[in-house]
Amino acid sequence: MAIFKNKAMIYIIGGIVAASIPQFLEIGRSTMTMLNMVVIYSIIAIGFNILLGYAGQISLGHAAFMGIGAYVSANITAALGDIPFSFTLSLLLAGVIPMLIGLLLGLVALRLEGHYLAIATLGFGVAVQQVFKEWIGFTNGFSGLSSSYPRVFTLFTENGYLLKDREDYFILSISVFVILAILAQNILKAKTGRALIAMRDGEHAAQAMGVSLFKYKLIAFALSAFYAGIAGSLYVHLIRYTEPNQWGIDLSLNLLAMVVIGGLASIEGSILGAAFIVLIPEFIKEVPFLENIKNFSSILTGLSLILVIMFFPHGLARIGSQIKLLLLNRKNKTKTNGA
Amino acid sequence: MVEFLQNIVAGLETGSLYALAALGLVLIFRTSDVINFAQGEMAMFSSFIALTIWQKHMPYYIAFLGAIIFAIAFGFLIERIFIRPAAKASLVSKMIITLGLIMIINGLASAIFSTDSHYLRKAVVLPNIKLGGVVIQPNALFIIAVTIFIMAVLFYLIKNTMFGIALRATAQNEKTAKLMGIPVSKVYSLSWIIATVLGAIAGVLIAPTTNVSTTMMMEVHLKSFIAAVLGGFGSFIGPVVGGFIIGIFDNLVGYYLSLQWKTVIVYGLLILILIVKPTGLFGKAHRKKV
Amino acid sequence: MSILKVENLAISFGGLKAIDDLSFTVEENSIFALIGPNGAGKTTIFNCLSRFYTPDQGRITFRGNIDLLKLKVHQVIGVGLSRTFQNVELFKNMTVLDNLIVGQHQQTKGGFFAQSLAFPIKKEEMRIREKALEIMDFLGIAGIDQQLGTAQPYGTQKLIELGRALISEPKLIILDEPAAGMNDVETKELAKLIKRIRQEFSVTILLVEHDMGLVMDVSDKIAAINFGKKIAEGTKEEIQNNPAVQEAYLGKGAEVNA
Repeated sequence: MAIFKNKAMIYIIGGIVAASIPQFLEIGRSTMTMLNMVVIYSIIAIGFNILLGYAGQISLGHAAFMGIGAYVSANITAALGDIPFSFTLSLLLAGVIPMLIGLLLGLVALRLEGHYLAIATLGFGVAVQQVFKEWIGFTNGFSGLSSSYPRVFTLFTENGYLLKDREDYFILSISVFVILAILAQNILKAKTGRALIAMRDGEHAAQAMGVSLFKYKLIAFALSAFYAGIAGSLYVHLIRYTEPNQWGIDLSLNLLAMVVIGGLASIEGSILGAAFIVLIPEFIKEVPFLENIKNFSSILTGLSLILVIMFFPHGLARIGSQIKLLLLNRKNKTKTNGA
Repeated sequence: MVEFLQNIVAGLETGSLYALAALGLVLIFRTSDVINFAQGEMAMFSSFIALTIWQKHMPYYIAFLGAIIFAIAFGFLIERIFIRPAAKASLVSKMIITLGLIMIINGLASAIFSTDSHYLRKAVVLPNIKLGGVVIQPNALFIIAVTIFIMAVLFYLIKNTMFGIALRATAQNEKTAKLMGIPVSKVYSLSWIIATVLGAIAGVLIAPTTNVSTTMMMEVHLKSFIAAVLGGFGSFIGPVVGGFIIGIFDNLVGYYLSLQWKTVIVYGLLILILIVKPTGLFGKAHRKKV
Repeated sequence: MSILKVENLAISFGGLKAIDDLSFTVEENSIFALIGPNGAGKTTIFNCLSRFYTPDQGRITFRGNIDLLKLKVHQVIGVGLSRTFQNVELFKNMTVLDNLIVGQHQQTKGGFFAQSLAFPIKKEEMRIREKALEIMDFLGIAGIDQQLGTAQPYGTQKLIELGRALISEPKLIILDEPAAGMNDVETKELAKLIKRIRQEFSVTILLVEHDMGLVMDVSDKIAAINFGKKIAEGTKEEIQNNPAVQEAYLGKGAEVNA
């Protein structure tokens, strides 16, 4: 069926199906929260994958952008109250402001390479988290900032519609996700995607072919920061509370784990990775012995990360084909042994 | 004036620890060609070993020694199991492995030692010295002295012994070093062992200030990175100088400008320096061969 | 008309002078070869032309009025100067087709918003695909467009890289040791191809090469480099009989036969 060849259609149809299921099936509140988190993390993972998987730029402080988005969005909805489009505005600005900061980080990235860049971004993450802790006016410091459920459609109905139910929120997060996934897909399949991959795989040849490293490194940082900010906004309106400790190195490392385990340079991989990170702690809770080991999910994630990098570098997304190849090689070996 | 000198002394003390950690980072980088992001967590783990021994009412120096012995084994194992197999991987891949190690080691520490914070005594407990109004803790002098002593020993080894030559040769060109008969694998193991021991010493020495906990090395760790970047990864003296500079600067900024924002300011300075000199203060800017 | 004028080029690495007061001129539509022993500085010259290096001294004038030294690396192809690399540098994880398409980067239309919507650039994407397939036909490597570029045999990879350099229809194309790793048969085919390219694309070709057979076959003019200095320049006969060239390659008292 030709309609399924178009990835955009797959996302749209898949999104409609996924968003509809909770409307008919009874799914518990905590599970729905989890599902919402998978979608939210998928969004930031796609952005981060653009940076690390496609452009090959490392950033160890990306949690900062999600945090900035969260705080920006929470402040704006609080300030604007119930006027029409207040939530939409806060969502957009939650993407734009981190994006502008991401551009600044990109400018720094231009001068630095590999490990210097990693350390600079690590420091960036720490510095921003420090700002979250100290800038009481903006973030309320350690007391944390509360947010409200988003009120949408205030232009069309009396008091608008409050997205209180997790199932309704799911529709919002899936909608945002589908739009951003299609956007990413389109850009990556076109000139920008090719330029990013060229930049990653051969800087010199890429430049000789006319790819401006300046321009594309900036694009990679800006885009990934935009996605992170949007994810932050969705997060703070779902959980309705945020405080500085949420936006530290743990999240940045989890983000890295998401895209590596899920699959670098792959949008499906970003989704798989996000699901992995969200679901692993849940599975561990079910296993009788493991649930008593504190922070076992940390250990498991770290191990998975290392195993994937060493043995399955294309991540979960392409693990199917890699296993097939392994089995095929085994079969051929035994064949020649027999002959 | 007194406050200024006081800050300098404090800066030299913390700077020593940054210098130790930064030196370990550069040592590993020059040989294994990887930034060991897990250095801080490994130091934290070693510190917990010292704590555990000390809490069992052993003398302090036994605990200190215990941490060092543990660090030797720890560094050796980590390099053998996780780093050696990935020797041919890309820069980013190797970085990611050490990042995964952060998660594993941190998780293990939380699981084994719990997430509470514990007190560990100072290395040297003696009455303070007063020098012209400036209060100097003997412990601070001890830390500075230990650092300088270790630096001196290491630099002597690197410059004047076969090990040092083997190290420098491997750092410059592994293949040729192998062909020349240098036991490259021993060099790798040794540099990881030394680096882990340096980290353990830094951890145990800073423990009195931060208390022993799973997050104790965060601040030192980041500052040691900044010190290594500032000094440049290209030399062994760079990170040491960088460490002292960061230590002093950190204290001065904290005292004279703002205690809350000093991390941000120090970080901002780092970025400024990197923009002007991307290879660090002592890094050599050379034409890259295409 | 001279398409490339190199004047008094000089560059050092550390204390070593890699290129020393080098000057040469390439006429439009000609095939010009740089020869010289290994380490003579030939690739360094190319890297100066591509702007990977900035020379310590000298001037490089392109197409009469373009000061090449004022350009950044990624701007060079935009004024019509393209190149291949000594160690074939295809993009490792891209198909053959995509490798060729990147060669058209500067000429691909479609800004960020057009790309994000996909449908406005559909036509353009088809156009650049068609062009890439055409180049593959021209080079005789049709049919492998969806395969991984780096999975191809070495000779094919060299052709793909050649295509990638050609596809932007440059005015001057620099070939860095195009015959490296090729056997006699392949080299003879390459010579024919180079002449065809000059003919059908009306492009000037500047090459660095060790294979004397190829050099003598295709070149209109040759410059011999040793220790970063030009030791001779002229037609193939002049170069063959030049004693300085003979000495550089074979030591004193020898003769070069091609």
